[in-house]
Amino acid sequence: MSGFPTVNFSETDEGLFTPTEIRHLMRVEYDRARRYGYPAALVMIAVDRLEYLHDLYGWESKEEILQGVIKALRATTRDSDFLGCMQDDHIMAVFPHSSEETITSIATRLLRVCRDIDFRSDGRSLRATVSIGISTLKQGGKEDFAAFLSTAEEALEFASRSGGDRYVRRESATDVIEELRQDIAEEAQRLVEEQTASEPAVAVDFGDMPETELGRSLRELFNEHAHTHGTPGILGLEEDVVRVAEHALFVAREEAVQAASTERKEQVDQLERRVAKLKELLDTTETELLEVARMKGIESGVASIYRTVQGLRDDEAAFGQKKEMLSLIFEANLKLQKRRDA
Amino acid sequence: MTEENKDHGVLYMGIDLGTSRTSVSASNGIRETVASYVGYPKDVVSQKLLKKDVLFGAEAVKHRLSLRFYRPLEHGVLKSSEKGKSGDYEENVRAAQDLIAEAIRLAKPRKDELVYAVIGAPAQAQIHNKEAIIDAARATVDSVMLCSEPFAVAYGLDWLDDVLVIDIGAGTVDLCRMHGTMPEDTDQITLNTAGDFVDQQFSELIAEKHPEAQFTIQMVRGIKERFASVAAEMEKCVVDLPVKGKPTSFDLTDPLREACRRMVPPIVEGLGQLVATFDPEFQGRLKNRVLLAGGGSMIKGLDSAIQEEMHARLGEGTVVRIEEPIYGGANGALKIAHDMPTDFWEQLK
Repeated sequence: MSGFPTVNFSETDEGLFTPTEIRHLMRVEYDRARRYGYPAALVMIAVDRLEYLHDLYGWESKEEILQGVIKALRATTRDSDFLGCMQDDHIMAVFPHSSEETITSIATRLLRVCRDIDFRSDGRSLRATVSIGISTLKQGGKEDFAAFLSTAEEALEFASRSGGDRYVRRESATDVIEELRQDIAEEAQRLVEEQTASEPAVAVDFGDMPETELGRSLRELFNEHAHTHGTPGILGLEEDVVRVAEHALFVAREEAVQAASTERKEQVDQLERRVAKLKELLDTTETELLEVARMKGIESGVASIYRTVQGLRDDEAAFGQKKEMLSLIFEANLKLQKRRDA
Repeated sequence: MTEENKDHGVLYMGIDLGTSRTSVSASNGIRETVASYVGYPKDVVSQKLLKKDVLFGAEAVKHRLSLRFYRPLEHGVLKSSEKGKSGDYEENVRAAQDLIAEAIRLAKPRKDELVYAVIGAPAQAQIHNKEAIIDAARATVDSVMLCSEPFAVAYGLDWLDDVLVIDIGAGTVDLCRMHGTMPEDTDQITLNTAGDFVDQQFSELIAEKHPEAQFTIQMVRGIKERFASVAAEMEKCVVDLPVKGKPTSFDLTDPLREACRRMVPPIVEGLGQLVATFDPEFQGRLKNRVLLAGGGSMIKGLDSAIQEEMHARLGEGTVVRIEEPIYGGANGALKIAHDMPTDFWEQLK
């Protein structure tokens, strides 16, 4: 906590933390969840087409709808969850100790509750739906704070763009890739250890080469030859031959070690290439899934702002005149339909 | 609302089913427009190539050579809509049905919502046409009503008393006199000197002035939509048209201006008829409350040209162009749908 600025928690009129406060709380919860390895979730909520409702029915109706959604959110969440308001009338909620299942269940409930609220504006029955973007931090997740936040924002935007009245849970690819990287690092370490265990201790300084079996055999052969022939020059020749033979032996061994090392390096490189490819595949799959979800969103449609048939209001300008005109339109259509059915 | 469907929302739609484009405004905030072209792949090969059973709007125009290509509305009404008159009837009805379904799909209705639509029909559409439009719409909506297009425009803007509405589409120019009640047949005039007429005139003038130029009606329409104006000082309309296969630049400013101006006299003549048969006490007020709507109203300087012609022929006149020519009809139809009482909708289900 010492690294964070001090914030005086003063909930807003709606009973929500301010944007600064909720971000601070989210940061604290995020760090705590990372430190102690428990799951947490960040949820961004927006009322669908709120600006449109604002334009149609004015500021008061917009506020009433927001209050209704906040009330529904309060009823759906626990006391230990934090709710805050963000810019653009978005609501942010932080859910510590909440698994993916818990969060999706909360989101489903919240969508249903919001859908069921019957808002009234000047006697009209309005319907408001919400879009929810969820970002979850898994146990032991390595995702950074910025990614955690932006994932929730992206998910919210995606839910809104897909027609609203839905939640979208997005999991950053960071953790998945991090897990793969860790596996690769462990595999590389294992290969290095294997290699080390299989290699003999080799000295490469030819000035101080240890005596080998080949060297001993050659020396014995030359000794026997010197005793037989008694030639003093044979001793010099012996040294030269032994040195050359041992050098050739060391070179051959070094080449073998190098070949084995290259082979292992290639294996590591190949694994790293596979990780890169998997990451690319993951990104592509994620994009495709978003596209599919977008298409699905189009099919599921965008909710009307009206729950029931509205009808002309008594206090409408030129009420009598319009009522008469609407009756005439209806009668003409009824006549048309009867003619058609006949 | 009954108990079993009280959880359903009601999606209202206003549809302006036009010869050139179909616009939709819905109560979920969505407004869309699609060019009124429908195409079906000619054969299995083109179907495989296009990967679709039916294409709409610009996409259909782009691939029209591989398609059985339909513009289901002509002069503002369904082509050959009197059964038995033409072999094309079934195909045109099918194309119109698909076009209406596409317009409704563009408004993204939810499956669990009731869809109530008001469709703007040409002011003097024949009964067979109206039936055909209703047939086309009923497949995709829960309840549908038709209303006169110019009336929808005026209703949407709350101009209900002593107003003359000019709704210029591609197929027809609808003139409608509003005087506080539902306009009757005598309050409405439909002219054929609309967008397609301008295209035809423009084509003839180009052919006359530049006989070597090669062009199609689609190309002419594209040029018109880009440069159309009746103003004396207008943007130069210089375009490339092929001459024996070689793109060649032509200055079509004068032919285009002339073609566009040819639609003004019939409109003012029609307005004159509607004014002349109105209560003399209110004729002055009527002439000074003229609403210009529809895609054709986007021709630059048209409001001023009509106003000048009115001054010349009728002594006075004030023409106001609506803010959203493309969606004026659809917005008005949406407002009618919204204001319509519950039991009216229920009875037409």
